[in-house]
Amino acid sequence: MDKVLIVDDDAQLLTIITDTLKKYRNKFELITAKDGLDAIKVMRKQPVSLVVTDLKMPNVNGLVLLAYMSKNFPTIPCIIMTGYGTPFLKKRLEEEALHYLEKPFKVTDLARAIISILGQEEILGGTLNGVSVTGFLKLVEIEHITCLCEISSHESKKGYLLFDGGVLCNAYYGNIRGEEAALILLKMDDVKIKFRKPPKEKVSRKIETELSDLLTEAIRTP
Amino acid sequence: MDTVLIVDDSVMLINYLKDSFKEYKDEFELITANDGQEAIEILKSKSISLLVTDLQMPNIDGLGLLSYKNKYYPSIPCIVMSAHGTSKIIEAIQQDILQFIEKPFTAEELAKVIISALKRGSPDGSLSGISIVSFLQMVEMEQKTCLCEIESSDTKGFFYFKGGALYHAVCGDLKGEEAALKLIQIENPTINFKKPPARKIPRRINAELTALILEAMRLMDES
Repeated sequence: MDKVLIVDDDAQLLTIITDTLKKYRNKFELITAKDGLDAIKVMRKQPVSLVVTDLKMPNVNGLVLLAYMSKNFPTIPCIIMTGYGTPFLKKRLEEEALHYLEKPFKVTDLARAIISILGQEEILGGTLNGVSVTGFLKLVEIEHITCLCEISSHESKKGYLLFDGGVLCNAYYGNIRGEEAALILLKMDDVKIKFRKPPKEKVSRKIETELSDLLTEAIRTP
Repeated sequence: MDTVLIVDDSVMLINYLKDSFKEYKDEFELITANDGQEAIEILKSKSISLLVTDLQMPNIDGLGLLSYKNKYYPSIPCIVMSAHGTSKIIEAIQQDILQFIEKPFTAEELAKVIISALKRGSPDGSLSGISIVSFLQMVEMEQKTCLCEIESSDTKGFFYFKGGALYHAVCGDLKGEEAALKLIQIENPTINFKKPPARKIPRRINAELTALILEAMRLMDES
């Protein structure tokens, strides 16, 4: 039987979901975790077919969980639940092949999404494999997250993008800073992404261009 | 038919309860509200048998709603849904008029509590409503920062709480612990929750709230 792992720090929401979805118990088994760390422990112990996760959580948040999964369990598909989506961003996430539910959602819609994903005979490389760096960065923006994203490529090139409350403030690549560094990082192929704690001191904004414009620019100019 | 008003700002919880309580439609009618303000409008326009409320909400929060209910509809029994209750506090302040259910709960669990509260009918304390002691303990439980105004026909005063800790109390000329002890003993006061003043209020009370309540009760027994 397929095991579906639901990750959220809202205990009442977990109860609502498990209670409502118990009528599907002949189709899949539900496991719950209260944060990303708890979820990682579950995934290490038993095979999971699908992960449904919130993004904002204490300890290990949803983004870190997604980054961990893309490295260690790249074939497990994932549905993201979040309260910050706008229709525009939602559409762009869908283009990134991310399954996405905006809170508040109908639990029956979640059930439909779970069944449809589990029903796909062959999950093509898993959803997370399909998530590009662009996809992650859009999530950082949507969730208003403050973080330092480390982008590294196979040729051991490495740089950082600094986000403050979802706004791209600065980028670092060698001696290059700002927009120029951001464009180099966004153009790199086949990269890995890690999320690090941002520096403690106040961040001044060195990049004025919107992330979406930079992404377009990166795609346009090879 | 009994009418139950459930108040919570979580749309997903409200939808879940609406959906699950269809099963109980012969036992009670369900009305829902997303915050205290909406709940007050409903209380004004409909006859409600039981109020079920969350404590943390935008606009008027649960404590504000309960103090309003206490003033204008003291006999309506309440069930408080809280994620912060330690069962020790909850046990201490359960009364017939005020009961608790700890989040997370299933709809079935809440339905059981609702049905048994409705069966009990008009509870003890239906004239005086929720006691001041219960309010103070809920402020502590929810770790609130607030000014709690207490008023009766002949006395007036306030408690100041910071992050759920009792910092200060004033009652007439009395200040600190003495004022707190006096205020706790007032019977059937009106309670109002206000935003605390912006200026810093120094801590004048170091005793635990529970210790003060016990002391006030001892004094009441003596007199």
